[in-house]
Amino acid sequence: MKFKKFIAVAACAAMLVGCSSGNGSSSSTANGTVKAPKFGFIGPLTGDASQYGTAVKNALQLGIKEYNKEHGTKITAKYYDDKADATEAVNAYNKLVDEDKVTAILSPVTTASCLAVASASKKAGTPILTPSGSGDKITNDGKKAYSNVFRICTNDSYAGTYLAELCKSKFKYKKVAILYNKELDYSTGLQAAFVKEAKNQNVKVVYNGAYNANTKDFSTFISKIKASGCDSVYLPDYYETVVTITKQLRDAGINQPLFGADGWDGILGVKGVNAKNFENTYYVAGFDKDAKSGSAKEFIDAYEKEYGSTPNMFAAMAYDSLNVMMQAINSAKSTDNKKICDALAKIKVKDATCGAFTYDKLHNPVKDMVIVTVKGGKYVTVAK
Amino acid sequence: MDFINQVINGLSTGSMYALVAIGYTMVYGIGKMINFAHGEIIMVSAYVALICMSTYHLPVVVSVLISIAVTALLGVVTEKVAYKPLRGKGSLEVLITAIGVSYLLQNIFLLAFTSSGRTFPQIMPSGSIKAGGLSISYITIITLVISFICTGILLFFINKTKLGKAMLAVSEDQGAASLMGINVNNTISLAFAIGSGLGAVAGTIYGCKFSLINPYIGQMLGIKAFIAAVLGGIGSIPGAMVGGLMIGVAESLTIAYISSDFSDAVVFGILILILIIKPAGLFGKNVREKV
Repeated sequence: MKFKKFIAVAACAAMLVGCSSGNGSSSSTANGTVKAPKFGFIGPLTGDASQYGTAVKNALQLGIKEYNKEHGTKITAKYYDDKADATEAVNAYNKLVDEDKVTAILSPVTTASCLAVASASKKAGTPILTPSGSGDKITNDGKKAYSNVFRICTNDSYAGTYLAELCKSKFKYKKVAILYNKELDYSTGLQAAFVKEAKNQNVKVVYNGAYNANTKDFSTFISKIKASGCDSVYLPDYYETVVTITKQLRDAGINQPLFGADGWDGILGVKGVNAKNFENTYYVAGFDKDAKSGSAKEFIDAYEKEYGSTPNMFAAMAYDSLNVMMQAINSAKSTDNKKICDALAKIKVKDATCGAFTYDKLHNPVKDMVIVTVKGGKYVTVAK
Repeated sequence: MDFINQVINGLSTGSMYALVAIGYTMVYGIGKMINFAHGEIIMVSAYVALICMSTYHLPVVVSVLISIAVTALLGVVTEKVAYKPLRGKGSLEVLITAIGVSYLLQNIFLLAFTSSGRTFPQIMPSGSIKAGGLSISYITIITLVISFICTGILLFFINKTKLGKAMLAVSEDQGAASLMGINVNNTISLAFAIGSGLGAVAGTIYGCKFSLINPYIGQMLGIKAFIAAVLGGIGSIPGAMVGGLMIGVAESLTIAYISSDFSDAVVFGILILILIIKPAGLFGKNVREKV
């Protein structure tokens, strides 16, 4: 009860300050920091995409522990498994808002879940900051941003467009074959953005094949890719499918370079994966695993100490989501939904593991990406 | 050329379906029941092979043999524990038990290995043979060859050996066969063992071809192979082989020339058509119900 009272008082104080100073952001000096916000997590802890959900959960736990130690706060979090399923995600969202009464949600992890939760949250306006939901329409309807939804990762068309530009400027690919999952929003988003930008860049798309979510046998598509005479293959999907397709492509003797987006993160984490298949492949990501200094390096060290493994991009983004959210809450000095969202929209993130960024009008972060490749069974960052 | 390539792709996947379909067909022919846990038995075999190879670093051949042995044993045990007590009861009871066994196996493996996929070690050579406009990967060819060899051995065993002939006799008439001095129980166990053992070969092929295995892989594979068995005429081994190949080719051609949306629809459409037009299947015998 004490905390609730405290929060209520703090919120009132913040409101008063807010009223008196017009828009009450940085000028306020009242010591009304929010002491015990409660955050919600919704993500796949089991199933095909569990590697992402687990990474996000681990990083959030680590981040909360560090933040509490450093700032004397009492942040708590509640974790729900959605198995990367949109319906389960909405159920979890309802529980978080109705029963757990969370301050904000640092999730969901996958795009389909984010889309569902974003539309479910319109009414209540709970602040939602997804670390990794990259679907274009998560944070906006194409023209206008949803007031309460933000993300840490870049959006799909950003990565799709970025890749199409790289095809011309760095990789010099001229004939690209695409193989995408038409039942996955993440995949179709990346595919569409790439195709659109490829036209502008004079990069030819020689084959555009669509498979289903449960496709395991890609031999039909692979015969077509072979016949297409492509010089590279674009695979916008999550790591488990990428591992399956890559294996089958290499088995069929297709040794052209393959490339994809951040969903690839985790390819080398699949048990028993043959890293040789991934020589001559590239993906773009928001997080530099080879960071030698700065907050990325600090995070990598802390994560390795805590969990005994190198963090992937999802972990880094989750870690950022916590710190960005705390920055917003502290500048809003309130747990009021709207105030937090306003603070998020204006935020300037200077020091984050995934690089500095600000939000554009559609609540998409604007930042630089890193190119990652696999050499000798290890991830290596490539210069642009 | 693309057409021929796609037909070969289909034949290769189809031959894997065929190996699984033979398991359905043998158990149906002899035990007069549909073992819906067959798909899960194949999933188990893939895991056994994987563990032998990646955890214990056994040679490929030894691993596959162990996988065949374990899976055959699992088939026999399932029959003894779950199906034998129900023999003589209605087919509905057996069917429901089979579905129960299937979920039991799936969930045991979910608990033991979680649902994240594991990659199968690379045991077959990668690359492909190019001839004219054709380009066939080694795995495709190896799959086809192994499937045909297995079916050949099985047909030889059934038609030429004493045990095989005993199986034929039991499938014709259990009562009469037992009067002739054939041990019906052992023969049924043998059918389960052979069906599951062939399934283990299919499980290894699945791992080699598609790389990633998880506790769910048996579901779709099992259903498709079941359709193949029905298409060929359930109870007939050559029928299962032909049915499997046809389903594989139909799937591959649908994806190549219509759309991947329809590949499952076409496969299940075939099942409906065959049930309407020729319920006994292509190679099945029409058995008249005696009143």
